[in-house]
Amino acid sequence: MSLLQIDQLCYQPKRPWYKLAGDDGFQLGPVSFSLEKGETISIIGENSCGKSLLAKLIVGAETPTAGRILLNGQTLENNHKTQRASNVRMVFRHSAHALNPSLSIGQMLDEPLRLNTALSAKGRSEKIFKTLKLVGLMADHFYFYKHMLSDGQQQRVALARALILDPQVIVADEPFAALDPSVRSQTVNLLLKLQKELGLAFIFISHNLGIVRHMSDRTIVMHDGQIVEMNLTQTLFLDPQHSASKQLIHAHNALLSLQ
Amino acid sequence: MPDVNLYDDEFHPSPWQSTWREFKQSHIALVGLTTLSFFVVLAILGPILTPYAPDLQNTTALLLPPAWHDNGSVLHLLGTDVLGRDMLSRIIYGIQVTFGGAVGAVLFALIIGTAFGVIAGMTSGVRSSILNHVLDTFMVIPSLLIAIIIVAILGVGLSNAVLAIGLALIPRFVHATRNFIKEEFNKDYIKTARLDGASSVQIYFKNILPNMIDVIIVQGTLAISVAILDIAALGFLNLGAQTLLPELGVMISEGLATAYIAPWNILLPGLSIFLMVISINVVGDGLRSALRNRMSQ
Repeated sequence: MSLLQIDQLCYQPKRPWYKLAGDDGFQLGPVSFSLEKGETISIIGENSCGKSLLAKLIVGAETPTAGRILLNGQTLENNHKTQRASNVRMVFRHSAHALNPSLSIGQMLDEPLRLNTALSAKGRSEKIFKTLKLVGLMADHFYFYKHMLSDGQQQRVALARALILDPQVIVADEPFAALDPSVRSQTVNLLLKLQKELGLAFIFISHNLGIVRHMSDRTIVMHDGQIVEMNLTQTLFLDPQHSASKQLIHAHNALLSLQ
Repeated sequence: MPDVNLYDDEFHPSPWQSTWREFKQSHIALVGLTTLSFFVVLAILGPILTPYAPDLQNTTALLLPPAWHDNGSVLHLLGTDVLGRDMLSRIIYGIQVTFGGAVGAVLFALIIGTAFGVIAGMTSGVRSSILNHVLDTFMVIPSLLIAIIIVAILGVGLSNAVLAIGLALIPRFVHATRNFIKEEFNKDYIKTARLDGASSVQIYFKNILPNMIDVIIVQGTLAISVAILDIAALGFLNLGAQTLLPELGVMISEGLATAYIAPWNILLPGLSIFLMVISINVVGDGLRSALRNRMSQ
């Protein structure tokens, strides 16, 4: 049995009431794939092909119109928040609004624990210190505010927030997009290290095919709301089948050969 | 606390502390704050500080000029008015009435307006639109005009004027709060909190309110200066406080009759209104830039 199984997931935006008929616009799915423990799956594809939407559906930020998501064989329900929140966590792309400016890092990390665990105040702060250490921050960062941290440290805080509930799956939507190459490599290595230590499974969305190739076991290519190709990363990069994947990978290879 | 704290001496200012540090950088804002606190102290300690009762008539000293004038007397530091009432006492009481009334009106508007704004911001669709856009149309009309209309319905008097100005100030608080909450709800950190399983009410109190206090404070200070001007204007037009009350606007309109022989009767109340309004605006401005700059280091 696989850790996370996406089964015929569909999403269609609701037609606004003033639009009586006509084109329904973008449609996602049906999408099916499964994720094993400790595995990394990357999702690549051109802009607005439904990558981020799929991530939102998996973590429960959006409700699918049809299909199921199974975690260890159990259906994830939108109304059972604790189960979903503590097992499937999301890391947003780095942005100016990723962290609340008026809460200290400690208060920020306290929130998921307060909502999803029965720990005492003391247990919660111990857990926070442990998680800060895990992502390579210091215990003192507990008292820091967002504007005192660099971009790389902020992204580590976002990661700490995802890790603090000991999840089984982490969904990351372009977690490295706004980071400079050195911080990016640091974060990539941090993720790989954490994966090895904790046995996490990653679903990882990126435009950076170099990182995708470096990090992921399998790669999914999406095009126009559909999965057009899914294969082991090495196989896919050497021998893409679908025209969309060929385009992406040839563009990447062309850039590489220029260097 | 962590077991080993390497940077025990290091200071981690909270957002409020960094706002104050940023506010202190501006000398003008500090002067404004000092002036404002002076007026606040005067308003609170008024009855203790005044040498005379505000309506005590000294018939032996009518229209006495201020003490620094050749004909002035130290007994009446700022002179007397046409009925022989001490100007200093009347101005201190006037500050109490005008400033206190303005603060009351703003507090009233702030509580109701923010509550409506929060409801409008947290809901969506028709309910939100009604609350917001209907009240937005009132923002086209100057608050003084709305206050005059409300006074025309409720009748004249200081308490009615304060109520009217409070009601007239509500839309700006609704507008500011609603826009802020709408904007805030689209940010990523709210999405993360939602994914943690927080309900909208929890998100509001834990994540949005700490950020919203800035908006409320800035709007509040600006509203107090508007309210002071409006209360004085209603008093001047004889629609607010009535003749017996020592209100600054009323005092100006009373002094108008003897403006040529006793200009201090309109000058001094006018000066105190001016100083109050300008100090509040300077403090509001300083606060706004301090709040904007505190996060950039």
